[in-house]
Amino acid sequence: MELRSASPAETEGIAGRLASELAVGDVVTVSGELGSGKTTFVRGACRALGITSHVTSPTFTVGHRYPNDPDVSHLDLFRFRGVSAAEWGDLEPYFEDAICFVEWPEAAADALPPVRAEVRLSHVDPAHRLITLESSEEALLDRIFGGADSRF
Amino acid sequence: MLTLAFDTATRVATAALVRDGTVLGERVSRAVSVLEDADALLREAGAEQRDLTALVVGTGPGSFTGLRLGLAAARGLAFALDLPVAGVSTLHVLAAGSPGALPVVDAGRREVFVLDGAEPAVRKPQELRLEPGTVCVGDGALRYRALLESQGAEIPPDDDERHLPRARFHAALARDFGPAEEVEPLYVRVPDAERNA
Repeated sequence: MELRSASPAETEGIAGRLASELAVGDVVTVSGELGSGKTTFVRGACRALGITSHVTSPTFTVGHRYPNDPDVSHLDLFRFRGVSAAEWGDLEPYFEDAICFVEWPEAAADALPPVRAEVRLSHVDPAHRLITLESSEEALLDRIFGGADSRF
Repeated sequence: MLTLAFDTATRVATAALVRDGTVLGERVSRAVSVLEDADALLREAGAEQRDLTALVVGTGPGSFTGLRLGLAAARGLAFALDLPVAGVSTLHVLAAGSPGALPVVDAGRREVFVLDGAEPAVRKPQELRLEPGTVCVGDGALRYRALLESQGAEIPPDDDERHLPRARFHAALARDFGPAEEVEPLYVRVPDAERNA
């Protein structure tokens, strides 16, 4: 499913619609080049889930966990090259009893828990982003976006 | 002999108080409340902390955090109350609670812990090579239900207690009680540092 966003606020709104369908234990990957709006997307999801604290990119801290009901984790694997057993020991708690958003999931390849939805953001032009949502659950995407396959 | 047993290796933590083979009480909760569970079990049985004579702790494999939490609680209690401790693998407990079944514990990162003979091992769920009709139990069986069922596995309903590593079986299986520091967690995955050594 592809959607077009004309502003950070619109990206946050799309994220919020996805967030409303998520439950504890769900993993959502968020991919896209630098500046494409990954953190904006996660921020929108966090807002929709009721998190009021400042949501920033965890590029240098690897992970943030926001206390909430349920907790929301935000990982950034930009600096990873695969995930060793030792590194998994550090990452695992972020996935436990939380909804977890993972930026730069490519670095982890198959080393993540099963993913409920995959989000990809890309630049269309300086003001617009293309947001691609994929999930093995078609019903999930239908519920979020009412079956509209594209808003182009 | 009054034994307190608990297991925090998986998402659902279990605890049991057992006197000479008789189960006095069992609790099912979360790893973070294992000490509250221990306290409640003692109170419900009309017992005191000082009445305990042994501890049994689940040694996984399972969640790193859950395992460390359980082992730390066991070591703390053993030190404070001067009790011997035995460790019992979470996989063996699942197997004891469901004879003939294959215990499958979620290992995160799209892998599961299973028993290979008597030894814990980590596997990809799609590579388990199950005999048709194999009963699979544990949180890994629940997480990968569709995948395992497509390989011929039979998996009890989600709320079946056979999916829980019930601590009464830890107490029943425990052998070799000794100093708490000799009980080691079963991480199964080899840490990089060890592999490179």
